[in-house]
Order: sequence, then structure tokens, then C-alpha cells
Amino acid sequence: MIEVAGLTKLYDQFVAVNDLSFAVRAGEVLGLVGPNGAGKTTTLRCLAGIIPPTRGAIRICGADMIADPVTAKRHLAFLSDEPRLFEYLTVRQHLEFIARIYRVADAEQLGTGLLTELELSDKIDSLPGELSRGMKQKLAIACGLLHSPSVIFFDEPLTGLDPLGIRRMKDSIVKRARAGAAIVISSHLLHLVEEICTHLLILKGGRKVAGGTLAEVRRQFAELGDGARLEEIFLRATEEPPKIAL
Amino acid sequence: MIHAFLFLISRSFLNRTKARLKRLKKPKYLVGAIFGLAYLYIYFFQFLFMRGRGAAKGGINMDDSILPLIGVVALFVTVASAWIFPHARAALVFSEAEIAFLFPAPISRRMLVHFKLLRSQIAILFTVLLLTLLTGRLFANSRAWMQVLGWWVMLSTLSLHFLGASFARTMLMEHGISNWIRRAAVIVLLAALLGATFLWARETLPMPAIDNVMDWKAWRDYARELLATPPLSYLLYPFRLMLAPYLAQTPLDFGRAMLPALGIMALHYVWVIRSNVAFEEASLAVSQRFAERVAAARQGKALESAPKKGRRAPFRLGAIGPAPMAFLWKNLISAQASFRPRMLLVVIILVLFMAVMAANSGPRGAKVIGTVSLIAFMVFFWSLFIGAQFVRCDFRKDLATMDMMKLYPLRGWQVAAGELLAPLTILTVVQWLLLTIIVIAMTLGGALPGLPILPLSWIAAAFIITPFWNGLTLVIPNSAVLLFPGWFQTRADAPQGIEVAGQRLLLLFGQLLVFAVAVLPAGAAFALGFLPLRMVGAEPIAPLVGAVGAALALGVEMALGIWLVGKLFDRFDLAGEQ
Repeated sequence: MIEVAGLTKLYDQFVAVNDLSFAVRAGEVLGLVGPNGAGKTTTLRCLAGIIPPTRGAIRICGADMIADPVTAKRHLAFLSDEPRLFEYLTVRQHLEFIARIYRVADAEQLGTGLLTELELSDKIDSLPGELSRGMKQKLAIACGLLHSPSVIFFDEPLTGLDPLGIRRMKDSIVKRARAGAAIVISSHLLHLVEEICTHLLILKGGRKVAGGTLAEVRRQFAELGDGARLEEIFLRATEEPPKIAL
Repeated sequence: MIHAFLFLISRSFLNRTKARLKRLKKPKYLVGAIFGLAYLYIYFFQFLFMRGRGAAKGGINMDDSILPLIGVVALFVTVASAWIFPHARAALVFSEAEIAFLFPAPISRRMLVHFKLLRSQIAILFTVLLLTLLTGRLFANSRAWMQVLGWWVMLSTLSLHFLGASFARTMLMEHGISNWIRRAAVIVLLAALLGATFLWARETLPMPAIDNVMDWKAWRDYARELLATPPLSYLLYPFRLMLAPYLAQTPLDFGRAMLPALGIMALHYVWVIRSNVAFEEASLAVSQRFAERVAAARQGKALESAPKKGRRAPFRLGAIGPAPMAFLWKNLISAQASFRPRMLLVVIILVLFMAVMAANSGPRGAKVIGTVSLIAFMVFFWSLFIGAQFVRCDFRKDLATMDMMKLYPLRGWQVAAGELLAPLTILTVVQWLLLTIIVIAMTLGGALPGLPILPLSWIAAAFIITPFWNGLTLVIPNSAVLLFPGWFQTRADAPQGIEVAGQRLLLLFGQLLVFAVAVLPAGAAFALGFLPLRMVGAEPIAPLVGAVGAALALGVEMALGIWLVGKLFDRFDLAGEQ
């Protein structure tokens, strides 16, 4: 569902993402991890078609993101850590707007279901300014899921959520994957990645330093032992090489 | 502790200046700085070393000037307003970092007030410098230094008074005296004072026999006499003292005037420092609100405050249909903050009602209608050139949500067309209404004073051209915002400085130049349609045919512009610009 080959993103001379290749199939949840500045968000933004890659190919459900971005984007949703909403549209108006953009014929029914599921039904005529941080996040999720995307990108999905919200978000991600969606999650929360991801991609300096299923990644760091925690693997994978004293 | 505060303020200032200078390594800032400095030189700095403009040249002749009267009354009104209008508790505005570091620190409340006073001095000194530059007085005459110090003492005292008044208001609220009771008491007191003055003036200072109501000198003399006689003179005495250093003519006068003015300032200082009012909680709330605004601004949101309640959609948006209509729908909802169709309708009805009434009242009525149509014509004319700068519910407003819009499964031109539709619709509707007013006024018999009556065919031509003209005027700033998002700053925390001002000016001139070139084909198309018909005597239809040609040319350019804006949108990456 998501195929990435040789993805590279440059900002002038700075290499944000360097020759990245991977694939995510239906039902898989890929955890994208790395230290700050590793290129996680840039990768996600390229995958979602928000910014154009400098080089490389991205296919979403078979559609080429560079050659045919409109078709590719029909299949995906991008949920960022900071919900970006139109401050002058109410909850209902957000869904109406998204319905027209994605041509969701049964938007009213789907929207009602989503709002009920996300406990936003009583806020339908509220503006984003009247919603709490968690509710804004829920509205962004409702907008993202209204067109039933097959590919979902999450950028730090648990930011700002309370414990119950976190539990529900995790369940929702797993549920969507089980329903056949391909999911990519970028997060610093390694316990989240360990808990719900089937696959892992560790980035450092824009490059892939490890990748595969969790078991495969563990095998790549066999020296840490069979039961090594993701945190140990992450630290080993991203550690700086020792400096040589002159 | 004051040393620590001075360190914080001075280091922040130095580092900010260093960062700005470092920024000049980037050509976009360097070019902006050169342009900004040139602009400043032309408008301000050349007056530093030349004789100042206007009044600055020879100083003020106190006998003829009404400045002291205006100054004293302005100071009185300003001070009175501090007791009437504000409703919040005393809240010294601290930044989030200042709250995080200073509030938990072992610093007394009084010391925090000192910190704020120190900070306010920087703002006051900057304002004084600006005022002096703006009035072209610095180094322009021998009184300049006295005026600088006069401004300083006046603004500092006012600043202290506002702070003290806010503390006093808080104390009153803590004693159960609400804002409304306080306001009522102040207003009653002022009304009683003015009433007593009026009664007294009627008895003892009768209004002079003034032949002409426009004889402002007679009015000035009367007002001067009124203000200089008890009881008003007693009330205004402190304000006269505050103003005196600014008005002093000689250094000796200045020295004499400065002593009492400084005394008033010192009293205010003591009042503020001795007011032991808990301002921390209110400051925290203010700081939080400010931080939220800055955070919103960092996402590119404009400075306007968030809407308080939902707005009605202009029409029902179905799930199926052209995508650009969704943007029109969204942006019309957004535009309702500053543009309400209902309000416009009320204005139109009122204007028409007045026009009809005036039409039935003879020659004077015709003059009124003529004036109305002239105003409508002027607004229409200027809206053609600057209308696009006022109606900004397009990419200029949606810079913050650009990332989200790039997710949509739409071609760039679809988003561009959608984003331009709302401002285009609003501008065109307003301009068509203005043209309608002109037509109605002309039909009712009002001529444009000083202007020939516009033939209806020209007005019809204007009807045809305006939507396409507006399309072009909107395409240019929207292209600019996508081409130079870093230069197009509307954010609260956006970079500041001469170089940024220069960038904005460059952007404005650039847009004007592009527009001047872009209208040439339309002008040629108009001439091609208009001139031949005029030569054969078909005057009534010549402007219409010309307008159709011009509209076609503008339409083609607009379509190309939308395609270009779409392309720019497709490759837009705000992250790459910052």
C-alpha cells in the first residue's frame, strides 16, 4: 500500500532525508523512530504529499505521489501532532468542507458516526476555539477518517491526550490496521511503538539505520540479547560513534 | 537585583540586535535592509540634520497656539479614561519565560514592579525618539532636547498613572466595589464637575459675542479663559505642570517647569510602589492569553482574535460538486468577521432612502445626491487598486493551514481558484453595488459635482470589466505570498526591523509593477474594440465592445495566473522558507 524507493529530501545543501526505501502493506503498522532532527516529520510530509521530495518515488495504493498526487491523496490521511483546524468553521462545518473536498457522498451518516465514536456529538456547532486540546485532536481525527483512508500517517498521535484518550487512540490505530489500513506512526514514545507497531524503521541523520519487523530488528542487534527492549535497541542504533582522542 | 534585570534587558537587546545583523548575510534580508534604510532616510533621517518641517522650524508661538489647551485637555481625558474604561484586574504583562523564571524566584512583588517599570522605560524612550523623528525636531532647533525630555516626563507619568490606577481598581474590586459602581462614581463626579463649571461659566464668564461660529480664534480665547479660571483651573493644574516642560521656551523656563513635573512623577512612583496589590494571578492569565496568540501566530494565523461564535454558512455545501466551491464556502464564512452582507444591504437601503428624500428637496437635494454618487465613484475607483489589499480571505489568510490543504486530493489550480473565489466575489459584489448607487443617483438627477455625468455605457463597461480586473489584482498578491512566504509576514512573532519593513515595501512595489505590466494587454484590447467604433460614430456601444475585449484579455491573464498560483501551491514548502 505504501511503497517508498530512494526518497531523498534536500533543503539547499542540508540533507533532511537520504535515500530511504521501505514498504508498508495492508494491516501493517510501521513505527518511524529516530532522534530529533532524524528526518521523521520530513519523511511523513513527503509521504503525505505535503512537500515534494527532491528525489525518489512514493506510491500510495499503487498511485504515484509525484505523477498523480490527486489519486494518491484520495487514499490517505495525515494526522499531525498539532491539530490544524480552521478557527472560523464549526465542527459540523469542518466535516461538510472535508466531505466536498474528498467527495464523500454519505458524509452526513459517516460524520455522525465518527462524532459519536469520538464523543463530539454535543459539540457539533462549536468552533475550535471552544474545544479543549483533546477535542481539537478528535476533530482532526474525524476529518482525517471521514473519507475512510486506506493509508494513515500519524505524527506523534498521543501528544496532548489524557490517559483515556491515549488508550482510545491506541485502540483506534490497531482497529484501523486490522480493518486493512496501512499505518505509519512517527513517535518518540518507544513504548507506544513497541505496543502497537508490527514494523519498525529507525532513522538517524535522514538515513535508515535499522528496519523490519520488531523481531527482525531485534535480530540485527542480537548482541543486546533476545529480550532486548526497544529503548536499548534505539539507543544502540542511534548512538554516536566514540570520538577518537588525538 | 536591579543589576540582574538590567543584565536581562541589555543582553536580550544586544542578542536581538546581533541576530538581526547576522540575518543580513541572507540576500533577502540584506536587500530589504538597504531598501528599508533608503526609505527611512528619505522620510525621516534627512530631517535630523536639516531644518525641521513645518512648526519645528521656528518653535511654537505660545500666544497663537492652541497646543497647551489641547495638551491639557488630552492629558485630562487620558487620565480619566484610566478610571472609566478598563475592567480587568491589575495585570502586569510578563512573558512566559519571565513568569517561569521570575515568579518562583526569591524576588519581592515590589521588585517585580520595578522590573516592569524598567522595561516600560525602554518602550517610552523608543516612543519619545520616534515622536521626535516623526515631527522632524531632533537637532532641528534649540528646543529639541527640551521637547524630548518633556515627552519623556509626560509619558513616564502617564505610564505610572495607568499602573497605579490599575492597582487602585483591583483594590476597589477586592473591597466589593464592582467595575460598574466605580465607573458610575467617576462619571457622576465628572458630570457634576462639568455641570458646575457650566453653571458657573454661564454666570461669571458669559460666552463672548462671536459673530461667526467659524471664528476659531474667538472660541480659542474663550476656551483658554474658561480653563484658566477656577474651579477648572484647579482640576487641570497638575496636567499643566506635566505639560509645562514640553512647552518651555528657554532652558530657564524648562528648569523651572521640570521640577514640579518631576515631583508629580515621583509621587506617582511612590503611589505605584507602595500599592501592595496581588497582580500575579491576573498577570499569569494575561501572559497565557498572549502566549496562545503568539503560538497561533507561529502557525501563521493572522493577528485577529479567534471568533467567539459560529457563523452561518452562506449556502448549503453538498458533498458532490466542484471542489473550488468548498473554498468559496469556507472563505465566505471566514470573511463574515469583517464583511457582513446584511450590513452592506442596510447601508445601501439607507443611501437610497436618503437619495430619494434628497431628490424631492430641490437643488440642495440634487447636490446631496451628487455628493453621494461622487463618494460612491471614489470608493469604486480606489477599490479597483487597493480593494485586494483589504479583502484577504485567500492564501494570505490560509498560510497556516497550507500543509493541511496540500493533503487534499486536488490539483493546485483547483485550490488556487477556490481560494481566489471568495475575495473575488466580495470585491465584485461591493463594486457592482457602488456602480448601482451611481446609476440610481444619476437617474435621480444628481450630477457628479465637478465631474461630467458618466454615460451609462461606461458604467455598463465597468460592470463587465470589474470581476476580471479583480481576479488579476488578487492573483498577484497570492502569487507573491506563495513565492515569498518569508517576506509576507502577518504574524505576531514575525521578524521585525528595518530589513523586514524594506522587504514589505519591495514586495508592494513589485506587485504594483507586475500589475502595471499585466493591465497593458487589457488596455490594448479595450482600445482595439473602442477606438474603431468611436471613429465611425458608434459612441454608445464603443465602451461596451472595448470592455468585452478587455475582459477577455484580463480573463485569459487571470486563468494563466490561477494556473501559475496552482503550480506555486503545488511546490510550496513553508519549511524550506523558514
